[in-house]
Amino acid sequence: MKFKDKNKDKNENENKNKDINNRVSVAPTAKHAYYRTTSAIDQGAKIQFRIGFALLAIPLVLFLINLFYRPYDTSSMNMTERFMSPDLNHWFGTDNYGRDIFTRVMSGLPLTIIISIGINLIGCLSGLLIGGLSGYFGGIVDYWGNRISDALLSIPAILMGMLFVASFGEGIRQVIVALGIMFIPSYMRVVRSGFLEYRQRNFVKRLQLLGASSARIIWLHLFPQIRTRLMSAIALGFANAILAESSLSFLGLGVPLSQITWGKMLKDAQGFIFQAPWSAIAPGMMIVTLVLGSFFISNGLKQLAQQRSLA
Amino acid sequence: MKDNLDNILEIKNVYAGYATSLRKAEYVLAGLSMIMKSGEFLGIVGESGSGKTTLANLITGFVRPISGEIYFQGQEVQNFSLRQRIKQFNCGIQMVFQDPYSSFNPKITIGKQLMEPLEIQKSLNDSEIEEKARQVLEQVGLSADYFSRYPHQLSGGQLQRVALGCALIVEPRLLIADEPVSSLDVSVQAQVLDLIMDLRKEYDFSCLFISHDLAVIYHLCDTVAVLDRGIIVEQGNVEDVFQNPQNVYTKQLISDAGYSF
Repeated sequence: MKFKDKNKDKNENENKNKDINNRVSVAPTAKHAYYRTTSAIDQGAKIQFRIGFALLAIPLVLFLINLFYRPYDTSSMNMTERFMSPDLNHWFGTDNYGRDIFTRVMSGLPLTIIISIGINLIGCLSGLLIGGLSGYFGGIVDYWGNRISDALLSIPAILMGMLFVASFGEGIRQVIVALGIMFIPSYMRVVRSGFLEYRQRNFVKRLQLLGASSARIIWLHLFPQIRTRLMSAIALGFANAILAESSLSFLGLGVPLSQITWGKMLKDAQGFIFQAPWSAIAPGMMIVTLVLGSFFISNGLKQLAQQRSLA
Repeated sequence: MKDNLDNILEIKNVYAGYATSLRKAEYVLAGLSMIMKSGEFLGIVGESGSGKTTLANLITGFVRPISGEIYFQGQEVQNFSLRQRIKQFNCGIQMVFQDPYSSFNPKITIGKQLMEPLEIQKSLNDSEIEEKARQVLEQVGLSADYFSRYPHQLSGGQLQRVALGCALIVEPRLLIADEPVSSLDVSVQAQVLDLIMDLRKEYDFSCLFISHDLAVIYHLCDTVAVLDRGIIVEQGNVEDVFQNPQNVYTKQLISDAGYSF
């Protein structure tokens, strides 16, 4: 029996070998190798995207719940329920005024997101304009573009926020404008370096010889090259904006008293951090989730951009 | 003026270079003069650093001369900017570059990039533009299914064919080819050179062909100019210059190349 089995195995193996020999009629070409490498990088980016979106889904689900179901009022105080640890009535516990932290975390989300989007909108559009002009035209335009960015980099974001709040009063708009201006250099660098890289290419020279306008070259030929890179920068900027707003709110410079953001909840919790750690953990974890999710997506996009530039 | 018209390009005593400090300039071209006749294929030979590419940039307008005169089709152009030259001569000067891969936008299909020159000119409507682009693609020896491919799916030789098509689709008077076959392997080089000779019959253009390969120039060009340290040391018929060189540098160049012409 054993002997027979072995023979059978051998025969099967031989058959397999024949099969393989018959199948390998096409020699592997560079084309095959190219697809293999890109799919490997794609896989890495895919995992990053999955983790990123899964993390971002948590705050999003909380926001959707908040639209239809709000167990407690966000600002009504209840002195009999101060510093309640998390239980079935108060999922994330209560703070020093007896307010439900779960409700406050949920309702703090929209404002945090709006501020972050506003900051990035200002930073990205201005960065695109200044960086694009610097990178494309070079020379004196590049010199002054770089000086603007250097000047902005030399001011700490917190100081800029303080300046705006001191000059124009407390408010969401001031926070957005102040931090938006601070976000210009990072976007400008990304756009400028991308434009510098691609305007050296011969196709730009070729288009110039054909009489293509600068606007056409920038918009149709240079901007598409940096789109993925820019998206990666936006995802990163989104995370950084949440952190910057939180730290500004933490110092008490951010949004007015009546509004809730996670940074402000952290600031309120800092006095009782040993008495009621959950009041700091809940908003802190939300910030971490959102920032981490954005980082993962940014990283995935960066990998995609790298793969594109290799191809 | 009129007697100049059979000269498509005339360069008189041109100095061009880069300012190294406020008072000093390093001349890449130092008093270069040359004449190029209409319809002629002129080869420019010279070693690296002799100013071949600067000469190309000077004629297209990417570089302005420090002094000297340039006449294109009998018209003085040294003070014209790039944009003025394009407007004046209706894209009369086009260029093909050494590196075929960087000559194309990696994100746009070959067909769209062939159509773009005509879209910029705005003289034809959309369907005419596409028809002409497909026609040119066929002329440069590529089948119609390359129309919707992306540059990275083409080989260097195929890309260089498309680059020739992109340059000739606007029917320029002068084509500047800056080492167009140097980055290709030898059999593909011959194919591209044959293509240029075929295109010469179909389109009426002059060509300034820059190369460091003497055999390529001998094969393709009518006349040759030898560039050495920023000046043209010898210019004449290809056969005359290669078989009976007068200048010491030319003699050296030809004996170094190891060919017998």
